[in-house]
Amino acid sequence: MLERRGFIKYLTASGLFLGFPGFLNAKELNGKTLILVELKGGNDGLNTIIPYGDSLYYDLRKNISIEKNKIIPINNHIGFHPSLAKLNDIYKDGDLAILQGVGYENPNKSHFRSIEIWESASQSNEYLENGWITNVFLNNSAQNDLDGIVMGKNSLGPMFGKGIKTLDIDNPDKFIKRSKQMKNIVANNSIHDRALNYLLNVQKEIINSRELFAQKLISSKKFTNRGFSKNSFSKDMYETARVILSDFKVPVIKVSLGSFDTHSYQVNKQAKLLKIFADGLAEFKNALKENGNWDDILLVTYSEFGRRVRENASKGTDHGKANVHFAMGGKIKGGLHGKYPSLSDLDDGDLRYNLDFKSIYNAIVEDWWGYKTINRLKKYDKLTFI
Amino acid sequence: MFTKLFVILMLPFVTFALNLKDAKHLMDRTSFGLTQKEFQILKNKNKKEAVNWLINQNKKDYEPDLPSWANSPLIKTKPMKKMSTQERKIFRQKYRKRVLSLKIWWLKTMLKTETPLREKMTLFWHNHFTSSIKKVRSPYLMLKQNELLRQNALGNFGVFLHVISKDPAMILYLDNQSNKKQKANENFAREVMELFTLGVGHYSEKDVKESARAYTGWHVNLKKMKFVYVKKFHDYHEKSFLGENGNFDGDDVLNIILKKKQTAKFITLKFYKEFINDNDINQSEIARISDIFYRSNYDISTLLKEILLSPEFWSEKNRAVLVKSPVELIVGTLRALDIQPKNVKSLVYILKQLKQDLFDPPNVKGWSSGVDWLDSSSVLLRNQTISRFTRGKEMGKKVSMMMQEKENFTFKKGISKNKKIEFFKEYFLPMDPIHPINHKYKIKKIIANLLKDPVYQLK
Repeated sequence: MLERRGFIKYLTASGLFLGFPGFLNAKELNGKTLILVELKGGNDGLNTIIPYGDSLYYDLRKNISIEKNKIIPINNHIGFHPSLAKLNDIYKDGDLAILQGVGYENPNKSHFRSIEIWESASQSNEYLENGWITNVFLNNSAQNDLDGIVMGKNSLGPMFGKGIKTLDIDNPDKFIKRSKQMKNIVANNSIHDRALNYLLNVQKEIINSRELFAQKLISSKKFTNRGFSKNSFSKDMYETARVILSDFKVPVIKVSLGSFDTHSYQVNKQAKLLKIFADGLAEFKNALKENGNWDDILLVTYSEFGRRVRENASKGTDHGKANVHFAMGGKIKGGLHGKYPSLSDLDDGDLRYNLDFKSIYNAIVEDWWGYKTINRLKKYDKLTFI
Repeated sequence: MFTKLFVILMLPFVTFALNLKDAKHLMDRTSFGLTQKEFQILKNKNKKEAVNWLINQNKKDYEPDLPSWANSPLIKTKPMKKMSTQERKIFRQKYRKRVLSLKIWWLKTMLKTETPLREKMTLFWHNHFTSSIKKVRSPYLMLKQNELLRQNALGNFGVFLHVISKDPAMILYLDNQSNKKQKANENFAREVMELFTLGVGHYSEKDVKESARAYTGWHVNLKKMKFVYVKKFHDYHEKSFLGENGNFDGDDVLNIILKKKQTAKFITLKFYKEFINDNDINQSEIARISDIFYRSNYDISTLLKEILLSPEFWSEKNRAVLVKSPVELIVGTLRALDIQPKNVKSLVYILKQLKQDLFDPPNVKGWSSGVDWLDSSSVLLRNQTISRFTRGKEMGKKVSMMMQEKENFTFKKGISKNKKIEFFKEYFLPMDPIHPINHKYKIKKIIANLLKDPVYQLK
């Protein structure tokens, strides 16, 4: 008991855990990890899960539509982009959920504002000071080794804001090597400089994580990257798998892929990215299945918006609204969720949403992690996909 | 009576000569740190004189030496698809070499420039009117754009907005090349309002669509690599934009945007965040300064002068609150130590790893700034880079030797070691270090430790 109190006192003094009200009600997280994949720039969902059964699709996209005979059918209305062959395999195994018509009320078409809405789970006209994941851990503190890791060149995303323990690394080996030189810092509460405080907290987090990685990370000799492709997305997926197999208590790992902002010459660019995406997911699945951790992960994609239904003059698409997303894992209810949006009943040229992304988040919080939901998600009925 | 009181209160603010701390603050925020030479000039000036000197010094016509290929764009003899594998390989090699040469050139320019404010502003505008080599695919056009940014860096914002909108690299970057009547591409129309002038919330989706039609026909002639107005692509129908109706073209639309005071406010706020404080903002100063900026008909030097002479700029609470960008950290360190590195190429790679790859910002919003630079991987790499500098590895001349020379250069014989340490502390750091100075160490080790202190990352 004494030890524990001393520990809390130390954490509070170091300034790291201020604003952590539920600390004493800490709850074990049963090794359930959420992998977030950000498809940066706004992926074109219409050319990802393709409504090939609708002639309007071919009318509106004369130059950039995907030929019927190349599409991998899901049913007689929609099918996978040919680059997504590996996703189709996962789908057939029942481990992939296709989330259709995902969006939110009063959508914003600015990259920066829209991703902020997604990452904070705010209303369209509401500005919140932290990400939705940050908010979940502030309200449900668990004794995690780290609350979140950002893998590769990428932003904190829904883990922005104060009060949780996050780490942003290129890859674990580089992190271990570089962090060796970092000097320990004596806690100093008299610093009022915001930027300096921020920097010192990052340094403290590095020093804490350094010990953790040194103790727990399995070596790349034991778990090799055989079976993973050489591109940076697959590398990030490999490192993500490695961290999960190392048995860290880390509920969130974020990776990203991009840029999907295909205003011009979309066909080749998107085909390349979708292949990297699908292959990376399949490689990740194989690695986890082999090691028996497949049921402990839930992978979910997000992106700032979908794209305009009608192609533009540059064989590309402009910013749009509703979009398709994916969820993958051993415990997932595979299949189709939500409705495929209509191509005739458009919202100013864009797809209408029928599934609020906050319903997905709400299910992640309660059904995946088993936490108490947060205020900003409460009023959205949980999507039953886990 | 009040005026008198005001004058008395303001007196210390304008009359006294700059001390080392003030000179460092001014140059940290507006240039790439303070050099010895600049300190010798600034220490005899009061704040107003210093700001005037700085701006006038940097307003002179100035064009750095350009790379040898500056006037000869890489031309494909035939389209990529028709090239043989070998030809394609050779072309790609040439292209990559030029991109690297472009980045090295700008970094060298920043390292040796005599007009650091001008370079700093060029970097500022590169991050405002962004374009990326990854999309533009032409080192030649990116260089032309860079020259344009430099020429207009302290000029008139209205003129600047018009010329940058017709800049070939910009047209390619924001897809105006394919913006044609009946098939508009909205990319440029949206970003010009969201990021270049008004900011989110000051225009509607309809304004985006209508103004996109006004910019139709602003294209690049890819043979001559020059702007061209293609009349047959222009939409001559009436447009309704920000409450005005007419048969507008792109220039008309930009003029309507410039008529809005919000544009002056948006730019003033961006300056405030860049030069004073990016988090704690004095809104009444924004209102006052943006009004002056608007009335000056968007004179950038006037805006900058008002920002630098604002009491907020010199206020203690706004010192050492900004985070150095990777470029500022690296260029500033080498300038402060008087090092002209032989291997600039390695610095280009370091900048890329630190996520500020010149000519290649991550997206149209540019690099995010402030504490966003400080994620754990960047913090580690920043520290590692600075340690490497202080050990002198990779650099043409050993840093430790330079430090020894500096010690001899700066002080007259007989000055106490404590005084020397005090000088270096203020010369290198914007506030007292986190790690206490061990006075027993040799000066060069003390300097190395100052550079490795967390506070060194701030300005």
